[in-house]
Amino acid sequence: MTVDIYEPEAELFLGPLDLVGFDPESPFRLEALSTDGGTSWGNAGAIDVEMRSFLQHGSLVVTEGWENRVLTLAVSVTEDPGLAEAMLLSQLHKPNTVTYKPRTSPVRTVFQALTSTLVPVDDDLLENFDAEVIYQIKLTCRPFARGDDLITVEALAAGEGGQITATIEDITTGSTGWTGLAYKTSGGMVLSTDVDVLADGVEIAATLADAEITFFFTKTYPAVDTTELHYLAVEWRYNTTDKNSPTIKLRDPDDPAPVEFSAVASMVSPDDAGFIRSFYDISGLDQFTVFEFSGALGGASPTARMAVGNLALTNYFGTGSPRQQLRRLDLHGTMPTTGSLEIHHPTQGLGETLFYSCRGDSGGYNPACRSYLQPRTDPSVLDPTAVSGYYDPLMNSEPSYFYIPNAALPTGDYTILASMSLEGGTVTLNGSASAWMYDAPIGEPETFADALVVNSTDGQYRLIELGDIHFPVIKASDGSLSRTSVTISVTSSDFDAVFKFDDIFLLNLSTGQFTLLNCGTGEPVAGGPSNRMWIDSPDIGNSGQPEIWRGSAVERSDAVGAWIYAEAVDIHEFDPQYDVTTFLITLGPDTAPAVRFHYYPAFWYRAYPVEP
Amino acid sequence: MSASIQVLVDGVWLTSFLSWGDLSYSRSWPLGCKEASWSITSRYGAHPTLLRPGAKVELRRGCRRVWAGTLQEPDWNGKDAQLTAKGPSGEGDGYQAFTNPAGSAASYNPYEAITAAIARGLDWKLTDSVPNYVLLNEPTDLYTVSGLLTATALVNSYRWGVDADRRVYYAMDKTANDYGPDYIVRPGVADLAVATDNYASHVVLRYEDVADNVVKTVSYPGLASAPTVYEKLYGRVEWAKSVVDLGPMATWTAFSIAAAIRNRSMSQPTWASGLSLLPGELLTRGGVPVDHARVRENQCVRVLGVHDPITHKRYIDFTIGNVSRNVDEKTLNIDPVDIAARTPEEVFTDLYEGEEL
Repeated sequence: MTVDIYEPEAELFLGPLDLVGFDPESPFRLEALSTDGGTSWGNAGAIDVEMRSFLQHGSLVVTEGWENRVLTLAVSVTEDPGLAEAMLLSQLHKPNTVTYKPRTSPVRTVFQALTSTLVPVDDDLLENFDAEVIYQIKLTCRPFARGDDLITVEALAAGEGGQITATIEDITTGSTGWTGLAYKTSGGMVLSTDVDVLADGVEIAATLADAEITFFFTKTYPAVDTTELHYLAVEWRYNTTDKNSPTIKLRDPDDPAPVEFSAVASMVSPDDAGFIRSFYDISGLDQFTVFEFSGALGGASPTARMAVGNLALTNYFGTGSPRQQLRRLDLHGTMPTTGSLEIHHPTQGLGETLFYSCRGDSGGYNPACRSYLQPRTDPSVLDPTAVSGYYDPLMNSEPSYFYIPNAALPTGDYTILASMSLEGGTVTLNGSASAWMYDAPIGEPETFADALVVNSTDGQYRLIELGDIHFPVIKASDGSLSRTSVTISVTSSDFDAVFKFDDIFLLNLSTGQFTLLNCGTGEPVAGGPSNRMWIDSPDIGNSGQPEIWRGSAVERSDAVGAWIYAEAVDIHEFDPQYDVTTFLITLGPDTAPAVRFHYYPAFWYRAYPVEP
Repeated sequence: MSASIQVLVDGVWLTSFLSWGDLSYSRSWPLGCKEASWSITSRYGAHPTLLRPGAKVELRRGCRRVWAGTLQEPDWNGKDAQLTAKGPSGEGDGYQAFTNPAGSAASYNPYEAITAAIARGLDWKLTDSVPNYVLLNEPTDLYTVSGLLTATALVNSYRWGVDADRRVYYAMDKTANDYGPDYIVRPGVADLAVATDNYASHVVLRYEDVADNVVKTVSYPGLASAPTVYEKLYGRVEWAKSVVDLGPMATWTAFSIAAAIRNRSMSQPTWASGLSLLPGELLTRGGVPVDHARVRENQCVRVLGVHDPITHKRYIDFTIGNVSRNVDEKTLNIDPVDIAARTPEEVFTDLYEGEEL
């Protein structure tokens, strides 16, 4: 006696073999049985590992991964059991899929079987009198279920690809409503209350030798609705030593207490020369009227200036210039997934390409550091071919200092790369980092590059590995005004050398992975320079091996294995629980390439509808 | 999740053509990159020709090299194989120390000998740390490049190694400075057993003086000098050795050898075993958990909560002499320098004959 629990609308396939639909033409009949008959979806068993710890009660256990799922499908075979058995066996003992759609679900769930086998359930009576044989199909599957629609998501930054950016303030000459002041941080002596409205920002200038100056700007707007767009992008600039990234305060008209925010990410503004664009996560606030901005500068130079530029609301943080983009990949599903990551420029070879990814909850972490570069005696030079958009020439006596808030440096082991160009000579690089709390350096600087000699003759920007270091150099409590100061000095006795220092990139290898590949520059040609590259996750279809490819055709008809062009390869992770922060540098194209991820969303054991 | 370590064999990414795992590797002080091993499964059962003895092996994390060496004969078992690679320091055994690539005269200047060997094909990169002068007396024997480095290092209590970038470097044992050691182990995580057997308070050497060819005696510390803190703790043991076989030498050379043996044998509390650590158990001096891929030989580790009878501190600092890492099991084993060569005789043999410690 068997019970068919599946309604006609329900579907259950093993590969192409229909296990519930009844085909009147078929010489045999296959019917899946209910859980009473032995069917089980199995479960992804967590691999928990006990760690040594100082816990006083109990032990520390962490989940390190998941075991394969074992799925059992019980089927009843009638009418021509021999033929049915042959049909079943043609689908077993190899990678296959089980596709399941309950009657009530609009989407199919797919289990990826690595292999499978058949276990007959002995029953003399059934077999002899009803010509019915019952089998259990045991399938060893990957731990998670997935949907059956391959979907594509694009990694985006604020304002890209249909993401929304709403301008709050577009400062031009004649902008009104701003007030502010500059005062000596210690004691509060007011130095200036003049807010100059310039063509690209509102600026306050103050003169005070050897003391810290706090700059404060404020403006009141008609109520700004922030329920939809959770990031506030603020552009600002300064001309002396920045004490730390500025903070903003917003005031909800219904709640007089202002709420303070620190930046979650900062980058050199791609649109407004000389400005830094900082993103503040203001989710939790529904609206605001009063905007306040305050930052502190070292007042050592004759006149310290700070300016606030344009303000906008966005639903994404991240930004970029033609050669580098900090973006976010919003993934669907509930469990870590795999797929194919594509980097694509419409017309130009990607050149040297660095793709870094890490969990999307890494605070204000941005591998690029130029927004933290302290102003130098000579202003940086605009250069659209530089990764950051600017360069500083060689200055033997003046190192470059980057002051990075520790909140923007997730704890871990970092590889430090630099982008620079050199023509006709040799330079020697030294790099070190030290910990600061407020104004005080702590401990000894850690050296990561010791007399590294670089020589090149072609004047092209290149990525150079400077060294490795643990950040933060010294642990500091969350929320403290701690920072890390990175010092890069470049010297040369070669007076003919034309040196351009672009930026440094801090890549956290404890929390992320990167792939570094040369795709060639210029017009894409099959077998030549490539305007596309793909990083494929290890997959069943490829014996569990990852792949990297470069080519130019969208359907990969001219893609070649790119391992020989790789300087670094890794297996990137895609977990929808945290989403993914992506950081891309391409030294080839003049405009930003797209980053896309093609994948099946993964679920614990039932797929649900997703909107790509 | 952390970035992975990838294996390259003769510049080819192993991941690109077969499945591999069980990676472990070790680095030692002296000698640097020591051994790496992993297992593979050939996809179709064929034995790839790439995996030949002598192929250059590199372990990389991101673009950073963490280990370098040369592949040994693969141990095939059907389509599975166990692969082992040896570090580049041993390659210096295959080159004799000459003043120039043509090999017309024996060299006792390590920098010069390495330069000449590199010109003949030794795959090392020189660094300025290698002494560019002669520290040895000139025996008549020809040294190998590795042997010359070891003998030179012995004389002034240095050591040498070849790092993951194949750079040969020459250094003193790294100790803590005013700001602390490189790494810290929290109290209670690890214990260090102090060994007091085979201890010698004085190393006495009999040598042939190069000035007058008379066999003389030198001792470190001086036999008549005031008792050292070690002697007070562990008693007096005078250990003697003849180095007449090494040929005539200056008094200061003999004294240096005595000092080197003394300093590297039972002159201070030493350890019967090393540390076995899991992720999160080793911290930087700044208190940040150390990523195991960053731990190298000749870094200084401070074990807190262990009493040092010499300094009376509640911690013991040691220099990493051997670090081995099992990547899949996430374990890290750290041994202090000279852990295996505790007796003066062993120190002498190992240092002088260039064997691995």
